[in-house]
Amino acid sequence: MGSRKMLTGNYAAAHGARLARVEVAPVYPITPQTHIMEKMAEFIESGALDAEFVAVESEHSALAVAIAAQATGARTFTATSGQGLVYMHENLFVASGIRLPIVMVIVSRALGAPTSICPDLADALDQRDTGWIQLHVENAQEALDMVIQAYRIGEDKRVLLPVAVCFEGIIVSHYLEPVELPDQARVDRFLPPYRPEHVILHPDRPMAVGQVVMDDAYYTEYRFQQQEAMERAKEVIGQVDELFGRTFGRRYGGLLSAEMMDGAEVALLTLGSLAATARSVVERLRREEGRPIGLIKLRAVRPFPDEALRELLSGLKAVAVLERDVSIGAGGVVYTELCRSLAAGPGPAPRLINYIMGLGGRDVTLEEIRDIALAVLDQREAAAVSQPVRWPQVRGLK
Amino acid sequence: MKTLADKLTRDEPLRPGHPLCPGCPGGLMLRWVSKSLGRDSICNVGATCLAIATMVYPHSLAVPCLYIAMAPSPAGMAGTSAALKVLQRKGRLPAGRKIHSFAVSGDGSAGDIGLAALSGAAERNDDGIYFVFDNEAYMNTGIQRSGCTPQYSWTTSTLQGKPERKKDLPRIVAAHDVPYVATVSLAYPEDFLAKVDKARDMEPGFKYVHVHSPCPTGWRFPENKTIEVARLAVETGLWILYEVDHGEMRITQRPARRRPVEDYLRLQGRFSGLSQENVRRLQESVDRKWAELGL
Amino acid sequence: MARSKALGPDPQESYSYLELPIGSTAVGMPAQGRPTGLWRYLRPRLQARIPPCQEACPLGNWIQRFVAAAAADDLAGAWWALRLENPFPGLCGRVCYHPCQEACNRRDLDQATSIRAIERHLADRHFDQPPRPPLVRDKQSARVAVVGAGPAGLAGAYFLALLGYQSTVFEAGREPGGIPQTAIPAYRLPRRVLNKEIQDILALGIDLRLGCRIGRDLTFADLLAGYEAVLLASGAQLSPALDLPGQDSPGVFQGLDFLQGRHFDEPVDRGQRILVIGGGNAAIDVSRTLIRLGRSPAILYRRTRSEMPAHPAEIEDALAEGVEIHYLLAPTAIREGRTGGLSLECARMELAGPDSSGRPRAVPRPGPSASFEADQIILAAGQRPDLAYLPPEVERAGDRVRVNDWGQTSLARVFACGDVLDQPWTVTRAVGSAKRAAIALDLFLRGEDLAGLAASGGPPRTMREHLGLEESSRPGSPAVTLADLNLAYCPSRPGREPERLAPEERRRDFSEVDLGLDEAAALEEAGRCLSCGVCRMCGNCYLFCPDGAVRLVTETGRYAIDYDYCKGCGICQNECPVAAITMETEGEV
Repeated sequence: MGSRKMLTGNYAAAHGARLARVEVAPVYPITPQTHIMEKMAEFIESGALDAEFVAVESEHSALAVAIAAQATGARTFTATSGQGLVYMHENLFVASGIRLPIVMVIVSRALGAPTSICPDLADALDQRDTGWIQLHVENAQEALDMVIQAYRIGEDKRVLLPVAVCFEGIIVSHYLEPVELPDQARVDRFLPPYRPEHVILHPDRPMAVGQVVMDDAYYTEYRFQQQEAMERAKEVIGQVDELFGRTFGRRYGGLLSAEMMDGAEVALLTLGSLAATARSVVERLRREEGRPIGLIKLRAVRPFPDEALRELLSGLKAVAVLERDVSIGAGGVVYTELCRSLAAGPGPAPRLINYIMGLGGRDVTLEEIRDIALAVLDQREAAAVSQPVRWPQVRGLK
Repeated sequence: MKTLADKLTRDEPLRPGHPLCPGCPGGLMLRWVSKSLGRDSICNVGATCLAIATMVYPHSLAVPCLYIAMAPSPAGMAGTSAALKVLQRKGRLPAGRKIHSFAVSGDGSAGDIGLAALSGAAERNDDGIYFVFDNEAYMNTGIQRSGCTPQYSWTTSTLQGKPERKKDLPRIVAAHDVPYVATVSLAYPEDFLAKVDKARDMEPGFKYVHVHSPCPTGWRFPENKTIEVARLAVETGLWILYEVDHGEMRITQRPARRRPVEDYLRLQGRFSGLSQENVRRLQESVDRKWAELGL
Repeated sequence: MARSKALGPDPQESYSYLELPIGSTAVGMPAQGRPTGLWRYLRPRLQARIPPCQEACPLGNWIQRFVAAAAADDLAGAWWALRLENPFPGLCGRVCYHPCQEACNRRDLDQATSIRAIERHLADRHFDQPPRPPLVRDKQSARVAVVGAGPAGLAGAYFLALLGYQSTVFEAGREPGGIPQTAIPAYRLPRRVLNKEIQDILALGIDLRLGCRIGRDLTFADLLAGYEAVLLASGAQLSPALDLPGQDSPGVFQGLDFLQGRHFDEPVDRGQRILVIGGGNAAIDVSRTLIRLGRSPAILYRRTRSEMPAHPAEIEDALAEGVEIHYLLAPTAIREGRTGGLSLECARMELAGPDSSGRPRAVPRPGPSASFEADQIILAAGQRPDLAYLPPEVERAGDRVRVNDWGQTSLARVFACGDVLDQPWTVTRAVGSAKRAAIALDLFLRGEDLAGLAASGGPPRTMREHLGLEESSRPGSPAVTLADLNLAYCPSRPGREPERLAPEERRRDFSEVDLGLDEAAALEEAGRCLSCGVCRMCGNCYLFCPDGAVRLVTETGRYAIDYDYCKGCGICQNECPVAAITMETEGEV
């Protein structure tokens, strides 16, 4: 049986790493992730976790240390935010290219300029091309649980990819919640030690890792293999979630969580803590006004659950995509991914409306979401969407 | 009488067939380092010409090698050492077997883009031997100037000669109070190997070996003169062979009679445009440096 | 309870990295590297070159080999290499004028290696040891007659014995040893040294007939009939025919007779002031002998000191011991002296243009002549061979025997060596020509086509080449110069020269003047040899190859180049201290 503690999202993630018995933890401090680093240092220095803590001098080095340590056969863990994440951007491709199941917690922070330490998902979403599995959570319990699941997912022989567990800075990272800490012995059974069978730095088996491939050599094939692994990860993520549920009593739905979809004609699609707020709104609209609206909480940005979403969304009339990010020149990242996903058919696809909200940590209220829900309900018979990408929170301009 | 060749192992962990230039000092460096450290070692390779020897199929170094990116080989070495430490402690690797963690990196990687990583690893006293293959420019990309390019040298990005002086990396690293810092030359194999052996056998911690590496392709001299140029660098006093062992500095090779810097410069095309005035300045700076050292 | 498979593998299970398969992003070591030998446009070759000492040595001593062995304290090896090529190391180690040392590359670095002293030291070290031939081949059936038991004849018989031939040596005199036995003074060559070496030669089973003169006791035809081949080594013991009025007066002697008389301990005539005519080593030997006998000799020579054929060291020794030398004087007549002795009339000379040998001619200077009083006059102006015993079929070249490059005369079965040939008359040259003749004889007696060999440089000139013990360097390749060596590996070290008696001590008696090197000094001196052109296994080529393409071959214990990978950078050649690596254009034969 586990125990319950009041923990912030950061501390919960750190506990997850501890329970997962990580062996090397190179971490560099950056607001709002810093408590993860402090907690890891505390665990290791106190002996609660038998691991090597490496106080690296930059995030770029943090991931480099993780890559080398993982390649040498140790389970590694690191965490970062915003600027730190983009500083280590180069190495994300390397970690995935070498197929190292590193787990990194991304405590999402807005990217400068202008400088901000408040939550914004652009940093994590910007890494969607790096070949990492990217999972988003909405609270501290989910954070802890997903760190443990992430190792199981990444180290699965069908996957062998690094995994990022993402949650918003401040909102999730700093707010206290009651969290259940699973029992260590149970976690040990759920998560055995890392056993690399594909790449290892060991003198008995010399190999060049991260080697140069030129011209017509196997670059294409490496990428294809990564792509296939990502495809297989869709199934694995669901299986691991199911297994976790049977073992610990909590399950989250895998690639996404479709909630209150019975009879829905429209849906709100979102990720992270916005899902918690949206959930309240949807639940109330259904209960008090009988509106045909449901909620889709997207958990996996990579692999993007194309099949699940196509199935879920076909038959809906309209979907509002709420996201705390924007790709300048295009729109919200999730929205753009969804358009791509639905364009492959089968039709008819719902009309998609993108709402850019909460950038740089701006508060997203129940009222604002309710307005959006009502708007999308109104829109559901409309022939076309007049303004697919909307910025409802802009003040003073326009 | 046993020569150095007889005392070294005859094993060649750097297997012939690598695509380094003919006469490349790096091939020699890797040969000697791998003979000293043996096959029970793991190499983190930074950005350097030597990455081509170790990271392109069929690769040539018979020890595990990891290339991450241009800058972070010190961090990689730290990661490998940390993993070895924890795995041995937890019993996931046998404890009695010593596996040497080392890194090989170029002067551009170590001294410019990766200086932060180098400084971090040194400050943390991460375990391993960090070798800098100093051919005094970004050679792999076509001879561009780096922080370690010496003053007045031609490169493709300093066509009139580099105005700035050479970055003194060994001194920067020594300022981190690491257990061992050494400068070596390929023309002095006994000195080279004694220092590598010493670093190898020392207690865990950060050791740094800076290899002065005359590059025939980039410095513009005939490819059979690599060792000769290396020797002249030391004999003219431009490259000083010393070690800093737990803070104690010791000069390990003193030329009996210091030769004029021209003897070194005239062999290299990269200095062919040097004015007499600049040669004089260079000679003065060497004289001054030696006077400072009390030699 | 059985573990559910869904939970994954048992964390307690151990596994070994050795069983890991190759994964998708990492590659193991393939069996072979890329063949970088294909890049090459220059190719190094480990090829010994001739050291200048060996090129200069008239007898083909294996200098580098015996010096290197001595330096490594391998006495047996050094002695073997020395005796393979020279039966007279004690003799040569004392009287040879060491052209090797003049050619030694160390001369231009600091000081030549004292090769002669090392050779002598080795001979002295083995003085008390019983003879042991360096090799003996199977007995051959052919027999050879050797005329003359001087150094040439004895050396010829020695080499023939090593090659398996039985020879008979016919010596007209009472003892073997030729000029060194009878005419080289003891202060240069103690007799016990020479006699030990002669005994060691004869111990190979050589038949020596003393007191047997060909042309008197046996005819040349007898030799041709009784033996498969003949080796002429009768030397040059006749005095030249000088057209000097008064040369038959009492008190006038030939230099060679004088020296031989000393050897046989015949008493010397009375007389204090003795004039010695001549400028060669014989004149010097005579003068320095006279000094030791308490006389006052003076040498008269027709040209100046620079033109004297005597070795410069000998001239210096003579002057240091008190011998007078007067230059630019040529005797014209010997008359009775005013006070009862002799008077020598001389023309004063001056130097003019060069003669056929390239030396300045001496021509009489107009003006009065000079005249000298003396108790005795010794004519030491050279010798000539006595060839009267030879039939006309053995053709002459002037007053010498005519031979081809390998010592064969115009009669195919007859070879010649030593002072009967037109070559400088030194012991070393004599032994060298004897060896070449013996090797050529060996080939001749086994039916080889000697003329055919001429196209590729002729028969081998050394035993080591002849027996295939050492690859000769490419024909025509030059000897190694100092510029060819990499001096970074040749630290300067002063040499040790043998100790010598001081001039005042020397005059007292006939004790050996040159005291040689002691053991430690000889070892140290041998260590100074730079081993020009001959690999000394320093390992530089192996150490400095960036490609690891130079490797030690366990079967041979030598280094070899792996041409599959050698890129031809040439570092090995540049760093070879001894110039034993040559760079050639790839593809050229």
